[in-house]
Amino acid sequence: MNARCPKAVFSLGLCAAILGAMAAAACADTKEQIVERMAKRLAAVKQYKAEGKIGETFDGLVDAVRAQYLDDATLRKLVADENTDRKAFYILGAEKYGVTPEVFALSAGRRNFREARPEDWLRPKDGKWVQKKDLKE
Amino acid sequence: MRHWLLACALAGMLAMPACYTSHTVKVEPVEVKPIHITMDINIKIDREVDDFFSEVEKKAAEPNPGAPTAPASPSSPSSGEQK
Repeated sequence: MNARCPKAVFSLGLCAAILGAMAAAACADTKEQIVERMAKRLAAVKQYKAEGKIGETFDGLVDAVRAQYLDDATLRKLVADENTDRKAFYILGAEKYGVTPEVFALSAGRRNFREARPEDWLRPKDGKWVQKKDLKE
Repeated sequence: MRHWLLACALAGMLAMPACYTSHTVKVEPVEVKPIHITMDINIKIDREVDDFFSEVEKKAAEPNPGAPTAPASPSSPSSGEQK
Protein backbone atom coordinates (compact mmCIF):
# COMPACT_ATOMS: atom_id res chain seq x y z
CA MET A 1 0.00 0.00 0.00
CA ASN A 2 1.20 3.48 -0.78
CA ALA A 3 2.61 5.25 2.29
CA ARG A 4 0.99 8.52 1.22
CA CYS A 5 -2.51 7.08 1.47
CA PRO A 6 -3.02 7.40 5.26
CA LYS A 7 -1.78 10.99 5.09
CA ALA A 8 -4.22 11.80 2.30
CA VAL A 9 -7.09 10.22 4.21
CA PHE A 10 -6.14 12.16 7.32
CA SER A 11 -5.93 15.43 5.36
CA LEU A 12 -9.28 14.82 3.73
CA GLY A 13 -10.84 14.01 7.09
CA LEU A 14 -9.39 17.15 8.61
CA CYS A 15 -10.73 19.27 5.74
CA ALA A 16 -14.15 17.68 6.10
CA ALA A 17 -14.15 18.35 9.84
CA ILE A 18 -13.15 22.00 9.34
CA LEU A 19 -15.77 22.48 6.62
CA GLY A 20 -18.38 20.82 8.81
CA ALA A 21 -17.56 23.08 11.73
CA MET A 22 -17.72 26.13 9.47
CA ALA A 23 -21.06 25.04 8.05
CA ALA A 24 -22.46 24.42 11.53
CA ALA A 25 -21.31 27.87 12.64
CA ALA A 26 -22.89 29.43 9.58
CA CYS A 27 -26.19 27.62 10.18
CA ALA A 28 -26.36 28.45 13.90
CA ASP A 29 -28.90 31.12 14.69
CA THR A 30 -27.84 34.35 16.24
CA LYS A 31 -29.71 35.74 19.23
CA GLU A 32 -31.11 38.51 17.01
CA GLN A 33 -32.59 35.99 14.57
CA ILE A 34 -34.21 34.08 17.42
CA VAL A 35 -35.64 37.29 18.91
CA GLU A 36 -36.99 38.29 15.49
CA ARG A 37 -38.83 34.98 15.01
CA MET A 38 -40.16 34.87 18.55
CA ALA A 39 -41.38 38.47 18.28
CA LYS A 40 -43.36 37.57 15.14
CA ARG A 41 -44.88 34.63 17.01
CA LEU A 42 -45.59 36.42 20.29
CA ALA A 43 -49.11 37.62 19.42
CA ALA A 44 -50.20 34.08 18.59
CA VAL A 45 -48.55 32.69 21.73
CA LYS A 46 -50.36 35.27 23.87
CA GLN A 47 -53.63 34.53 22.09
CA TYR A 48 -53.41 30.81 22.77
CA LYS A 49 -52.40 31.52 26.35
CA ALA A 50 -55.45 33.75 26.78
CA GLU A 51 -57.59 30.92 25.43
CA GLY A 52 -56.07 28.59 28.01
CA LYS A 53 -54.74 26.30 25.32
CA ILE A 54 -51.03 26.66 25.94
CA GLY A 55 -49.04 27.45 29.03
CA GLU A 56 -45.54 27.81 30.38
CA THR A 57 -43.58 24.91 31.81
CA PHE A 58 -41.09 25.01 34.68
CA ASP A 59 -38.26 24.26 32.26
CA GLY A 60 -38.75 27.36 30.15
CA LEU A 61 -40.86 25.91 27.34
CA VAL A 62 -44.49 26.13 26.22
CA ASP A 63 -46.84 23.20 25.83
CA ALA A 64 -50.50 22.44 25.18
CA VAL A 65 -52.54 22.42 28.38
CA ARG A 66 -54.59 19.50 27.04
CA ALA A 67 -53.28 16.88 24.63
CA GLN A 68 -56.31 17.34 22.36
CA TYR A 69 -55.29 20.93 21.64
CA LEU A 70 -52.34 19.52 19.72
CA ASP A 71 -54.83 18.27 17.11
CA ASP A 72 -54.84 21.87 15.93
CA ALA A 73 -51.97 21.89 13.43
CA THR A 74 -51.42 25.64 13.83
CA LEU A 75 -51.10 25.31 17.58
CA ARG A 76 -48.87 22.27 17.26
CA LYS A 77 -46.52 24.09 14.87
CA LEU A 78 -46.51 27.19 17.04
CA VAL A 79 -45.52 25.19 20.13
CA ALA A 80 -42.82 23.32 18.22
CA ASP A 81 -41.37 26.47 16.62
CA GLU A 82 -41.46 28.41 19.89
CA ASN A 83 -39.69 25.64 21.77
CA THR A 84 -37.09 25.22 19.02
CA ASP A 85 -36.22 28.91 19.28
CA ARG A 86 -36.22 28.93 23.07
CA LYS A 87 -33.93 25.89 23.16
CA ALA A 88 -31.62 27.57 20.65
CA PHE A 89 -31.40 30.59 22.94
CA TYR A 90 -30.71 28.39 25.98
CA ILE A 91 -27.87 26.68 24.09
CA LEU A 92 -26.43 30.03 22.99
CA GLY A 93 -26.60 31.37 26.53
CA ALA A 94 -25.13 28.22 28.00
CA GLU A 95 -22.16 28.43 25.63
CA LYS A 96 -21.60 32.06 26.60
CA TYR A 97 -21.51 31.36 30.35
CA GLY A 98 -20.06 27.85 30.27
CA VAL A 99 -23.09 26.25 31.89
CA THR A 100 -25.58 23.64 30.70
CA PRO A 101 -28.63 24.74 28.67
CA GLU A 102 -30.78 23.39 31.53
CA VAL A 103 -29.52 26.19 33.78
CA PHE A 104 -30.83 28.73 31.26
CA ALA A 105 -34.05 26.80 30.72
CA LEU A 106 -34.82 26.69 34.44
CA SER A 107 -34.01 30.37 34.80
CA ALA A 108 -36.44 31.10 31.95
CA GLY A 109 -39.06 28.90 33.57
CA ARG A 110 -38.78 30.85 36.84
CA ARG A 111 -38.97 34.12 34.94
CA ASN A 112 -42.00 33.11 32.89
CA PHE A 113 -43.85 31.80 35.96
CA ARG A 114 -43.15 35.11 37.70
CA GLU A 115 -44.36 37.16 34.71
CA ALA A 116 -47.45 35.04 34.02
CA ARG A 117 -50.90 36.51 34.57
CA PRO A 118 -53.15 34.97 37.26
CA GLU A 119 -55.29 33.15 34.68
CA ASP A 120 -52.33 31.75 32.73
CA TRP A 121 -51.70 28.01 32.84
CA LEU A 122 -48.41 26.80 34.27
CA ARG A 123 -46.88 23.35 34.56
CA PRO A 124 -44.56 23.06 37.55
CA LYS A 125 -42.11 20.21 38.13
CA ASP A 126 -44.89 17.87 39.32
CA GLY A 127 -46.25 17.88 35.74
CA LYS A 128 -49.78 19.00 36.66
CA TRP A 129 -51.20 22.03 34.89
CA VAL A 130 -52.43 24.72 37.21
CA GLN A 131 -53.50 28.31 36.78
CA LYS A 132 -51.09 30.77 38.33
CA LYS A 133 -53.74 32.03 40.75
CA ASP A 134 -54.02 28.48 42.14
CA LEU A 135 -50.32 27.77 42.18
CA LYS A 136 -48.95 27.00 45.61
CA GLU A 137 -45.34 28.12 45.97
CA MET B 1 33.62 24.67 93.54
CA ARG B 2 34.79 24.39 89.96
CA HIS B 3 33.28 20.94 89.64
CA TRP B 4 30.09 22.23 91.13
CA LEU B 5 29.81 25.01 88.49
CA LEU B 6 30.63 22.59 85.72
CA ALA B 7 27.93 20.20 86.92
CA CYS B 8 25.39 23.05 87.05
CA ALA B 9 26.30 24.17 83.54
CA LEU B 10 26.03 20.61 82.25
CA ALA B 11 22.69 20.12 83.99
CA GLY B 12 21.47 23.40 82.52
CA MET B 13 22.54 22.39 79.03
CA LEU B 14 20.80 19.06 79.40
CA ALA B 15 17.62 20.68 80.70
CA MET B 16 17.40 23.27 77.94
CA PRO B 17 15.82 21.03 75.24
CA ALA B 18 12.99 20.29 77.68
CA CYS B 19 12.02 23.96 77.57
CA TYR B 20 11.62 23.89 73.83
CA THR B 21 8.05 23.37 72.67
CA SER B 22 6.81 23.32 69.15
CA HIS B 23 3.22 23.94 68.12
CA THR B 24 2.02 23.59 64.57
CA VAL B 25 -1.38 25.17 64.03
CA LYS B 26 -2.84 24.24 60.69
CA VAL B 27 -5.61 26.53 59.56
CA GLU B 28 -7.75 25.31 56.67
CA PRO B 29 -8.21 28.06 54.09
CA VAL B 30 -11.72 29.46 54.02
CA GLU B 31 -12.78 29.35 50.38
CA VAL B 32 -15.62 31.80 49.77
CA LYS B 33 -14.73 32.85 46.25
CA PRO B 34 -16.43 30.01 44.28
CA ILE B 35 -19.73 30.67 46.07
CA HIS B 36 -19.55 34.30 45.05
CA ILE B 37 -18.72 33.31 41.47
CA THR B 38 -21.66 30.87 41.32
CA MET B 39 -24.04 33.50 42.66
CA ASP B 40 -22.66 36.05 40.24
CA ILE B 41 -23.18 33.72 37.26
CA ASN B 42 -26.73 32.86 38.37
CA ILE B 43 -27.57 36.55 38.64
CA LYS B 44 -26.07 37.20 35.22
CA ILE B 45 -28.01 34.30 33.69
CA ASP B 46 -31.28 35.49 35.24
CA ARG B 47 -30.60 38.96 33.85
CA GLU B 48 -29.69 37.60 30.41
CA VAL B 49 -32.91 35.55 30.29
CA ASP B 50 -34.98 38.50 31.47
CA ASP B 51 -33.38 40.78 28.89
CA PHE B 52 -33.98 38.22 26.14
CA PHE B 53 -37.73 37.87 26.80
CA SER B 54 -38.04 41.64 27.29
CA GLU B 55 -36.33 42.12 23.93
CA VAL B 56 -38.84 39.75 22.30
CA GLU B 57 -41.72 41.75 23.86
CA LYS B 58 -40.15 45.02 22.74
CA LYS B 59 -39.57 43.77 19.22
CA ALA B 60 -43.12 42.47 19.00
CA ALA B 61 -44.44 45.86 20.10
CA GLU B 62 -42.60 47.60 17.26
CA PRO B 63 -44.89 48.85 14.43
CA ASN B 64 -44.04 46.11 11.90
CA PRO B 65 -42.30 43.14 13.48
CA GLY B 66 -43.78 40.92 10.77
CA ALA B 67 -47.05 39.31 10.01
CA PRO B 68 -48.63 38.15 13.27
CA THR B 69 -49.79 34.58 13.19
CA ALA B 70 -52.41 34.84 15.92
CA PRO B 71 -55.41 32.56 15.49
CA ALA B 72 -58.15 34.34 13.53
CA SER B 73 -61.14 33.49 15.73
CA PRO B 74 -60.30 33.25 19.38
CA SER B 75 -62.55 30.89 21.23
CA SER B 76 -63.64 31.46 24.81
CA PRO B 77 -60.99 30.89 27.44
CA SER B 78 -61.13 27.35 28.68
CA SER B 79 -60.25 27.97 32.30
CA GLY B 80 -60.62 24.93 34.50
CA GLU B 81 -59.69 22.48 31.79
CA GLN B 82 -56.72 20.30 32.35
CA LYS B 83 -54.76 17.70 30.49
